[in-house]
Amino acid sequence: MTIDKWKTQLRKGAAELVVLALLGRRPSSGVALLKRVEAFPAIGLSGGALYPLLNRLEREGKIAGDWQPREVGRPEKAYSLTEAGQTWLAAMQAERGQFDAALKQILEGDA
Amino acid sequence: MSEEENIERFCARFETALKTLDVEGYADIVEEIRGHLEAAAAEGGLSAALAELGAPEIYARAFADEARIERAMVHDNPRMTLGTLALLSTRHVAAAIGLMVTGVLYLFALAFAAMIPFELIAPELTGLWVDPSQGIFFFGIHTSSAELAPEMEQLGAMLIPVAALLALGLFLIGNVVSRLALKLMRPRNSKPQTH
Repeated sequence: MTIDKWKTQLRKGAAELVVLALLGRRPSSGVALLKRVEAFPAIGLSGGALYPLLNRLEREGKIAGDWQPREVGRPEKAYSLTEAGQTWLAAMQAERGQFDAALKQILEGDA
Repeated sequence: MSEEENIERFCARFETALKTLDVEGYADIVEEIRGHLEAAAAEGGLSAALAELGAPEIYARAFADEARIERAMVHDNPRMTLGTLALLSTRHVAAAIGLMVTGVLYLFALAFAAMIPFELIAPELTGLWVDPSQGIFFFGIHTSSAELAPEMEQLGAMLIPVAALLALGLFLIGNVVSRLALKLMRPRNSKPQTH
């Protein structure tokens, strides 16, 4: 495995958490979400990856999409976190916290 | 070709692909992607956005495969599960292996189930014949009773419950294997591709 492949795996694992966490702060359209993620190049979430992910999360009931009219241009679909999504996000964050703590211990030589 | 035409061309092919793959809510998906491409075009990045999405037909699969797997998981219908594995078997190793193993298990289950009516119609041709001295082990439906002595038959009327249990057991294991194959594909598919 190359470092790029490993990095891709790391990003894949984080994508759902990233999207849910961003939507947890405020509802966003796909385009707006991409702009928010662009501020963090290390996350590496592309447009090609984002929309199938949003589609799945909506089908799973973790997020809800709502078409909203805009002053200029065609309506856009704004996504927000549902109650189930909030619960899921909290569970993910708890797991990530434990994982990060264990990883930190291992990497810093406490294990 | 203008940028608008490029977007329309992509969206038309994308919509056709989603329809062909029977993706629910395809119109919403197409509209959202159209909005994404228009936003990219407004910022002068249409070529990059199109390149990132790739061929519309391939991109449509990212929506179809997951939905198909989820539908099969929710409905828990063996025919739908097997159909989903068959459709995905050309692109996913787990689906191909799952389809093959499940198919073999279902075939054996069918064979054992078929023994039940045969035991009622032609008991002399149906059964479990064992004779270690002659190296005979035969479990099933034979075409000629002349080759298998009745005293070697081990199950008698018990063949019906044994065959029913085996058929049911293999069918249930087949169900578990097929769903396991779907589950194996789900995490890989449910996570998006990143660049």
